[in-house]
Order: sequence, then C-alpha cells, then structure tokens
Amino acid sequence: MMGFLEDLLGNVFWQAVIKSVAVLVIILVVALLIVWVERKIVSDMQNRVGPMRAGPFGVLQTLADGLKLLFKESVLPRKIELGAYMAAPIAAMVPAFLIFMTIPIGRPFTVGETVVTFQGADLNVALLFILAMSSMAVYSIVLAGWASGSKYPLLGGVRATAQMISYEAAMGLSLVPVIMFASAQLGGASPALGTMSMSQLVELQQGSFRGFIPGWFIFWLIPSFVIFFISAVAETNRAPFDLVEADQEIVGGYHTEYSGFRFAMFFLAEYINMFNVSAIAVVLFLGGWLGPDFGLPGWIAWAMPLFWFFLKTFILVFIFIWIRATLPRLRYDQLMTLGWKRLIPASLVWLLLFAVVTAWRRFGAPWS
Amino acid sequence: MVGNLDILAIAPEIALTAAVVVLLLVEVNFDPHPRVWGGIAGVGIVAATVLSVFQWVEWSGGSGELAFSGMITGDGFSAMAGMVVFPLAGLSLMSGWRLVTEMRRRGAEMVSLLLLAAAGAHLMAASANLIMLFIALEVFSISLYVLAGFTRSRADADEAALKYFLLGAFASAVFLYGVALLFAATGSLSIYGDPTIYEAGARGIIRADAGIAAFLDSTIILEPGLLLAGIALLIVGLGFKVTAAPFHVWSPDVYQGAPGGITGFLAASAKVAGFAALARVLTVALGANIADWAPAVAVIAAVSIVLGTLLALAQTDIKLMLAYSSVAHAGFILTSLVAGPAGVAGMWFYVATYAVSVVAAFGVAAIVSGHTMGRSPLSSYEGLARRSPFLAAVLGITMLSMAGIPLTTGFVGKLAVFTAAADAGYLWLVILALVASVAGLYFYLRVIVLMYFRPTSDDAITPRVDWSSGIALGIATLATVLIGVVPWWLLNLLNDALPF
Amino acid sequence: MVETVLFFIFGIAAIFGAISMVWARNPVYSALGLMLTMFSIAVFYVSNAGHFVAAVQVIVYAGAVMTLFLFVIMLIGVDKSESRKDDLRFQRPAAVGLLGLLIAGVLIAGSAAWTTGTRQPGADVNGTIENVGDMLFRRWLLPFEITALLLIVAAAGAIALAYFKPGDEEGDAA
Repeated sequence: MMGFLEDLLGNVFWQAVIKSVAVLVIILVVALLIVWVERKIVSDMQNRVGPMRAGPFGVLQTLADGLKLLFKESVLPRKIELGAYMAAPIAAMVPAFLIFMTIPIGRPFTVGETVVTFQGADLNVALLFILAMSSMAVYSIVLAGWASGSKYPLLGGVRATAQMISYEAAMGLSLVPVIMFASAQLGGASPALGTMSMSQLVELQQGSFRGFIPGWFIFWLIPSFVIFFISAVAETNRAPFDLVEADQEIVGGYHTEYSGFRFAMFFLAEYINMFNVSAIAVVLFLGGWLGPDFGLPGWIAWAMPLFWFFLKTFILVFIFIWIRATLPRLRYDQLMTLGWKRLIPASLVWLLLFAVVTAWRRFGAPWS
Repeated sequence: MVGNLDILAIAPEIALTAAVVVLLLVEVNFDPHPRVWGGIAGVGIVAATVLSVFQWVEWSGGSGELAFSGMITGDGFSAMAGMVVFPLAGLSLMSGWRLVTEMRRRGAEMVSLLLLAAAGAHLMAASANLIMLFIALEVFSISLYVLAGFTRSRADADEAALKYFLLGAFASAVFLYGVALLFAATGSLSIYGDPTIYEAGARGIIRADAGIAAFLDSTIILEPGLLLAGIALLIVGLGFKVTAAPFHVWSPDVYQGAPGGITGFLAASAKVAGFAALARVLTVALGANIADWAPAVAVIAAVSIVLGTLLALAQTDIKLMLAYSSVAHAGFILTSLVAGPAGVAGMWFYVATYAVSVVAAFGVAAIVSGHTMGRSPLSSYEGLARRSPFLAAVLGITMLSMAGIPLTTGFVGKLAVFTAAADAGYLWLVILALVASVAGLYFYLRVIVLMYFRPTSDDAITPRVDWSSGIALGIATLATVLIGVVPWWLLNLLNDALPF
Repeated sequence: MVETVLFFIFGIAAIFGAISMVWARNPVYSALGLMLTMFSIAVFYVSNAGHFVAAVQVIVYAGAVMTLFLFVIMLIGVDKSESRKDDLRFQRPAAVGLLGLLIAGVLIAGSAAWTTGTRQPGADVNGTIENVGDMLFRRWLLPFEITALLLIVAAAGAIALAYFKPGDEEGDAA
C-alpha cells in the first residue's frame, strides 16, 4: 500500500493529476459549505431559521439546490452572443480554481523519499500570479454582461470593470509591504533577496516574539491587512460593494440572463473567490497553516495544520458574511471615492512609511 | 552606492521635477494667480541652470564621470546641454507667457510640460546608455506632442499634434529597433560601459559591462550587417527629431499648427536635444566606425540642405518658411558631424545660436499673428517696421543671422561647421552648403524687405508687445548680435564641451 | 517534451488569436483575440523560465485589453460591428505585397550570417523575480526612476488635453 502510494506521488505527472482533482473536490465542498454557512448566519442575524429540511440543520440544502439547477432546462435568450455567452461561466470558474491551486493549506509531508506539499503548485511568483488571475476574473463578468444582449447585465458588466480595476490597484499596493517585510525577514541570511512564494511566506511566519505572540505578519502589517481585506470584499463583488449584481437596481446584474447550471457556475465562482481571498489573507497575514499542535499524537497532529488553516479562513469568511448582513450597499460615487481617494492614497502613504522604516532598520539612518 | 557626483549628474532634473511637482500641487490646492506659476517655474529653471554651471565647473574639458552605474554621464558635453537648454526654456516661457495665461487653469500643465521637456532634453544629452536615451527621448517627445496640440479649439492644432504624435511614435519605434539591433551586434547597451561589479546573492559575481565603444574598438566585425542596420535605424530615429530630410515631413504642419507661443521651444529644444544625442552616440559609441556612418550623415545633410532651401523659397507663410529653413539648418549642423569629434564644438555653436534665433523668430510671429494661432501669412508683415519698430528689428536681425550675414552668430556658426567638414575632406558638401546659403538669402531677405520697404495696409493691427516677451526677445537679439561680433570666447569655451 | 507540446498548443492559439483579432467583425471578439494572443505569449515566457515577465504580461495586457473592451462598449455600442468598406482600393493588394516583402526580408536576413556581440552580463540567469528586482533596482535604477517622470508627463498631458472646455481659450483663438 505504502509502496504504491510512494510510486504514485513520486511521479510528477500523477502527483499533478491527484492534486488537481483534490483541489477541485475541496473547492466544491468548501463552496457548498460556505453557501450553507452564509444562509444560516444571515438568517440568524435576521431572526429567521434559514434552511432546515435537507440534512441536519439543512447542511445538504446547497447540494439539493445544485442538483436542481443541474437538471433545469438551459434557457438561451434570443439576443445573446452565443460563443461569449457560453464561455463566460467557464471564465468565471477557471481563475478561481487556478488561484486556489497556489494556496498551501497544510504542512508538507513525506512519503518515502518524496516531499508532498498541500498545495497545487508552489510558484515563485505566486502573488503576481494571483493578481494576474484576479484580473482575468473580470473577463467573465464583462463577457457575461456584454454577451447577454440585455441592458441590466451590460450595466452590471460595466460597473464590474470599473470597480475591479479600481480596487485591484489598492489590493496590489497593499501587498507590496508584505513582500518588503518578507525580504527583511529573510535579511540576507538566505541567498534569495526576497520571496513571493506562498509556502515560503508561511514558513517565514514561524516562531513567536515576546514569548506568546505568534510571528504572523499581521502584527507588523495591520494597515496592509485592512486595506487588503476591504479591497478583497470589493474584488469579490460582495456586499457592501455588490453594485455589480445590485438586485434592487439592475435585477441580477451580469447573471440576469443566465439560468440552470451556467448560473450555478457563476454562483459557485463567487463563493470560491470569497474563500480564495480569505485564504490568501490567512497565508499572507495570519500565518497560514501554522498553529500549535498541543503535543498531540502523530496521527492527529498531522491534521492539525489543516484544521488551523480552515479555522482561520472560515473566521475571515464569517467576517465577510457578517459585513454583508450588516452594512448597506454603497452608492456608485461613494464606491469610487473610497477606492481612489481613500484606499489608494492610504496604501501609498503606508507603503512609503513602511519602506522608510524598513530601510532605516536594515541599512541604518540615511546620514550614518 | 550613490555618491555626490551621481546626484550632481541629475541635479538639474531633480530641480525641474521638484518645481513641476510643487507647481502642480500648488495649482490644484490653491488655484493661485498665474504669476505664482511663473515664479515657481522661474525658480526651477534658474536652479537648473545654476546646477548646470556647477556641472560645467566640475567636469568641463574632458574630465567626465559616469554616474548611476553607467547610465548617465557628467561631462562638459552634458553640462553645456544644460546651459543651453534651460535658459532656452526660460526664454520660451517668457515669450510665450501670454499663451500660458490665456489657457486659464490648463496653463499650469503647459508650464509643467515645458519644464519636463527641458529636463528630458538635458537627459538625452547626458545619457550614457541607449535605453536611458530612449526613455529620455520619450519624456522629451511626449511633452512636445502635448504642447503642440495645446489649443484644442483649433482643428489644425489637433491635426498637428496628432501628426506629430503618430510620426513621432513611429520614429521612436524605429529608434528602439535600432537600439535592439545594436545590442544584438555588440552585446551591450552602454555607450561607455559599466565599470560596476555586482555581487548579487544567488548569482555570484557578475562581470562588468565593457560597453559598445570598447567592443567596437577591440573587435573586427567581418559581417557587420546587424551593426550597420542598427546604426542606420538610430540615425533615422534621431534624424526625425532634428527634422533632417527626408524625415522632416511632420515639421511644417507642426510648426504651423502648434500654438504660436510654444513653437519656438518646439523647434529649438528638439534641435539641441536631438543633435546632442546624435553627437554622443555617433562620435563616442560608434566613433570607431566613422567610415561607416559619416557618408550616410553627409548624404542626409546634403538632402536636408537642398530640400529645405528649395521648399523654403516657395512659402508664403512665415512659419512654414521657418520650418523648411529649419530643415536646411539641420543639414548645416549635420555637416559638422561628418568630421566626428572634431566637429562637436562647431555643432554646439551652431545649435545653440540657431536655437536662440529660432525662439526669437517664432516669438515675433506669435506676437504678430496671435499666441494661440497657427497661421502667420507673410502679408501680415508688410510694413511691420512702421507699426512696431522693435519687432521688426528683432525679426530682421534674426533673419540676418539665419541667413549667415557677418557680424551675426549665424555667420560664425556656418564658418565653424563648414571648416570642420572641409577639414574632414567633405569639400563637395561644403560647396553645396555654400550655394544653398546664397540661395537662402532670398527668402530671409524677403522678410526684411517686406517689413521695411513695403507700405503697411490700412486694416493691419498694431501688435502689442507684453513686457515678458519684450525682455525675452531683447535678450535673444542681443545675444545674437554680441556673440556674432565677438564669438571667440564662446568658441574657446565650447572646445571644452566635448563628450569625454 | 512538455515544452514542445505547450509550444504547439499555445503557438497555434497565439496565431489564431492574432488572426481573429484582425479578422473578427465584432470589435469585442477582436479584443478577445488580442487577449488570447497575449495570454499564449505569457505561456511561452513561463516555459522559458521567465515567470515574472509572464505574470506582468498577463496583469498589464489583461488590464489594457479590459480598457479596450470598455472603449468598444462605450464608444461603438453594444451590437454594432465594424464596416468593411475600403476607402483605399489598393490597400489589400498592397498588404499582400508588403507581406511578400516581409517574408523575403526574413528569408534573406535569416539565411545570411551576422556577427553578434558578446553576451550581456547576467544573461545566463533565469528571469525570476529576484533577479529582475536586483537588476532593476541596482543597475537600471535611473531609467526606472525616469520612467516615473514619463508617467508624470503622461498624466499632466492627458489632463491638459482632456480638461479643455470650449470657450476656455480666451483672446484671439475665437
């Protein structure tokens, strides 16, 4: 048994296949769970009971909905652009899937000689790759909006472009201090000058200072975390930034004309993206899968990193849902003002400040 | 890593950029009187000029420095470029000040772009790396494209700016392709080389870059196709900027369409920056291959002189006439470059004095036919001496200088470049240029005849000279005459302004 | 082997994208074709170990193509397609002729021998992010900073040109 597993994982090709399938399964399960969690939490906050029937506490409700959507008739409106209309839901799922591929969800383990990482692919430009993929994600929404041949989706698509381009700038800028800090933590001890690899960023957050505070980046980079999280909410088009699909104004936004399983793909992509940005925040700021294992026996300590990773991520997902249940939607001009006149200047000022302090600590005062 | 000399090498740019940033911030936040813009810009220009003088004191006469790991030079050449281009920007700003105020709030951007263009021009002259040169060229050119189309209410200004932009972008692409081919042929982008040794973490020690000049000096290239193609494309790209024929076709439209107050700067700064870059690239980086490029430069010079002179003869609009004459002048200046390093001093004299004259000429044209206007038909200069003796005197002296009449700078400049070319053995070029100069007398003197010996028409308006352009024109004219009468000190000075 | 397969798949995709960019009647499909080409080129960068360039290619060009989309949707309209009327009748034959010239040029230039220079220092390392950052902020620091100046020029120029309101220019402009 062990020998077979070792052979299987030792082969690069089969390892990639296994990881891809595993990632696909995990994100689908996670998305189903998050949908259920959201419905339960929002209903609690609104003094309702939420889904109750399918499974214990209605946990299978999303699965039931998904099956229902799968069997529904595929309605094709008459004025669509067929190619783009069909491609848009796929274009929504692919970046979400690829982003999750780069996130390390647990401690690497060894089978025989082979080191296996809990990560689809450990890229050395992971952060840039994530930014690139999140800019590709806009295409699905714009394509869907344009290809539907109807005015509400088009409005949603145009809104999405403006929103995502605006907040991507703040998001990217908020990540620069993370890279700078990682470089400072490496501090010349390693031959590398810095790193953008997600697994190395997690390893840099090991250890603790003052005895009990873990060495997570958030304790140095709170402003970055706040800016990142706000722009992440905007990037995923979640309330209060859900102008893209604001139902009171533009019906369903970009997915108004979609039904059946194509709609389900948009729906899933939104929740996967929510999980993705939470996971990225956990990896960059909250120590990823790091956490104590309380000296538990080996067979359970092996699973502890996974537990910590999902616990942290679901706490952030809870905050997402909490925000959605609490805050009213922004007006369009408020959205743009917040993006361009608050977040981007704030992240620039913070970047400058952080750069000066880092350089000072590393190379001494400019006059020395 | 960054030493004091490094900072001095780009100090004028720092001064100008600081002035621009302050200017834009003040304009946005306080919306002050245009006088405040002028004050800030003036401080920036004076500071940049003073810093260029410091550079001159530090580096003139052959002792140069490489700064920023071989990206930029501090030498007499770059210092001289600063000492020419920054006062020129100041003069242009003063003579075009009415245009700035007429642009209302957009005037602040106009001043900023002018300062940034001046910074780009100096960077072009100081670049010691072809990529650096390309970026400086873009900073300079893009500022000029916008300045050329500043008056949006006239369609011909938009047209001029668009033509300038499209052709300029094309020329930039040609230049960049030339850089790429030169890189392929020599394995370096650096003119002087980069002496710095980088000890970088994982990669171990990286050896220094020897540079294009050293490579060409030490290597015999048997199949020089790539090198020759690269040189040709570089000359084409920079020839566009200096309006050398046959790459001049944009200049008449742009000089006529651009707002009058800024045309002088467009014409003058492009000549200074373009020729400075051309001189450094040709005489230093490609100095070992002078036999390859000098004939090409000579042919371009000849074509420019003939074409520019012939076409200028036929014009009835003074700006078109000046545009074609600037093509001819580009040819005259190129004749000095066929002599290689020996011609650089002559080139400097010609470029600097021509730039001053052209600013004065376009300054007068702007006052006579309007600062925001493009067209300036020769008929509106009939009897100008009656209506405005000052303007007529300025334009007259400028025309005499451009024609190359003795006791003006134009004569000394022509003498200097022709001597250099004749010494280098290009006698045919010199004879051609002399013939063209005589033909050129016709259209320069025609303007003078129109101004002094024709009656003024009854409905002609009397141009009003505001004090700032008056001062600028006065300074330019005085310089043209004084340096023309006693040119020796400047010629001696310029012998120290060679690239090191 | 993997590289060859990748090259053929994305090489064909790049050419298909380029052709459809020129050929498509609907400008949105043109933009999509452009994006496909850019993306395929990014894959080539990855297979040549230029990870940083690949990521930047996707970020920058995806963003740029996005802007094209917006232009198409806002300026041309949602369901208009480009008119195919040629104003210059000799355009197409001329294009074919130029293509022939280009192919001839490539063949001649490719079959001749050219002397090339020495290798640039640092040319033998991968285009990883560390190396790019190291070169950019040490050797190429000044050009990098001057590029910032270029951006100021672009921003000031764009504002100056776009902020014009008719009647803004007093005096003799009329």
